[in-house]
Amino acid sequence: MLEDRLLSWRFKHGSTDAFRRIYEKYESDLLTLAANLLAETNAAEDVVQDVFISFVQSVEKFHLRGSLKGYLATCVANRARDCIRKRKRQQTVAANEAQQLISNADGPVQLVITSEELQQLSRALTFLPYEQREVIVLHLHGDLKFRQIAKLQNVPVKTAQSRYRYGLDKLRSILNGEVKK
Amino acid sequence: MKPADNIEKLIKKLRYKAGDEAHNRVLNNVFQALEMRKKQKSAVSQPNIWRIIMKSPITKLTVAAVIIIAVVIGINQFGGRLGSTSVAWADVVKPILNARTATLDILIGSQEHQMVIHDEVMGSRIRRTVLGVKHSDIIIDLEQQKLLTLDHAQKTAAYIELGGLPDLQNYVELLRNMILRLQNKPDFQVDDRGLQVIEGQDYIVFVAESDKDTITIWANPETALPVRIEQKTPNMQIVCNNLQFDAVLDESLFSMEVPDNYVIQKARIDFKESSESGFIESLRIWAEIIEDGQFPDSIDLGGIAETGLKLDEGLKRLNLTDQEGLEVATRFGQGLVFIRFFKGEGQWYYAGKGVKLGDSDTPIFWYQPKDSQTWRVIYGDLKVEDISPENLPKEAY
Repeated sequence: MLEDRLLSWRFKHGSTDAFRRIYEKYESDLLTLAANLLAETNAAEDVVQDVFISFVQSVEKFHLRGSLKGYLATCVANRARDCIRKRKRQQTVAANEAQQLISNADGPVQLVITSEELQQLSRALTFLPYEQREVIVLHLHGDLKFRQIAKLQNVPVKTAQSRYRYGLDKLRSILNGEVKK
Repeated sequence: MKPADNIEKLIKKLRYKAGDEAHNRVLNNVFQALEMRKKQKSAVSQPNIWRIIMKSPITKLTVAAVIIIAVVIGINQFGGRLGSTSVAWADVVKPILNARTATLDILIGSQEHQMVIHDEVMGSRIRRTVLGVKHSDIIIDLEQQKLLTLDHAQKTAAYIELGGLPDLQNYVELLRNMILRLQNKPDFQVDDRGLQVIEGQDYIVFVAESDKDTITIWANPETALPVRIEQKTPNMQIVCNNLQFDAVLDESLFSMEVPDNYVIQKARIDFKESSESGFIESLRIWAEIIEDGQFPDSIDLGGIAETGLKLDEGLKRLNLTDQEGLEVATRFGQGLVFIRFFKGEGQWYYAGKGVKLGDSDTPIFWYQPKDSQTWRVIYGDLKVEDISPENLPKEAY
């Protein structure tokens, strides 16, 4: 936390090295978030790039109140939503996205651990309603609290918690079903 | 175990990474954006410290300490060439030469923005309080080059180690050494101005002058004890009032021990890095934080004294951790040290009054580095140029 505050401060004061450190520290976390939210690795790469460019361009106005990771994770979530909205075919594309994730195993953005089990899971995630997927991914990968996610989704905290719980239940069902197959 | 059995743990394993190509591609694109951003920025729009707020009382005190150190150094910069001796002069300086302890008030700057310091001096230690910094004391150990700041209201303490400074003297030692040095000069002379009445009191007044420096001492005509000393140089005016020598002072006043139940912080401020670039950074902080985008009227000791009061207000707009605030304070202090050390190694002139940060046409400061044939000129946008003497701006103080 302290390191992040110092890095942010140094970056605001012109340190390119500080920015490089921020980038290398969080690149993988943000890619993971974006890839799991969007279920599409090329789009994930674009989102992460856009988030960092936006960060660079608005650094003078930037004021770190919480964690830097939380801030960047929220930026990724917002960008991912924009991306989803633009496509306006979240549900219909889901199956294709899942295919793309698998087919991109050798692509520019890859799963760190490749196993049948994880590929099943990544595919299963795409079948969740976006709000549920978002809560799960932001909580488990973005380290955001339900309170923060609820604010982002503009819903009560209990709703965010419910979405998390329902999402996990649904994933279990999907995976059990797939395993049974 | 089925994948669904520990779903949260499994999801956490669902991590992605960029391949080398993707990593480099994104990084290059982002850095291109960064470079473009930098090019778009003028000196004025460089990282704006103005919006940043420093909340910690400790850090505020640390800032005060940095300024105070600059003041100590400023005082130590004074030197001069005086002349002639007299019995009366010898009587007046005798208590200064022999004093073991002293108490005094040091007034720096103009009356309107005066910084008032009360010092109690014992050997190499000073207990210092500053008017306007409430419930706080600063113990300075000149020999160890260490400060202890105590905030009695917040029950906080900060040890600040000072690195890279020359040997420092307390004010009494400074006066003593200065007098001895002057008296050893063959052409030593003092102008005895006789008795003067100030606020109904009689004083013997001596004035010693050199090229641009003046020392005036007021002494009690009956005891010959000096009660007021005024030093004037082109870049500094210091008045010492209420002088008392060999006052009875309790050694515990100068203890570097922190009282029980105080929260302690430690910091180190290294001044050896003081350089032209550090001085420029100081000017930037001065303009951005203290003077709202404009360079100060003066960077002499009086100007520095004014920052002591203004900086506190300016720093309320900052929002840094203690560590970050200390970094700003240190950078500011290092710059001040550069200018305070400078006198004696060459000439410098300041003309930043009324100039806005970012004004690329107006020189605000120029100096001749030691053994240099050319001058370094700093402009309002903080760029620096080497200029030959014949092309220098008009001299200004």
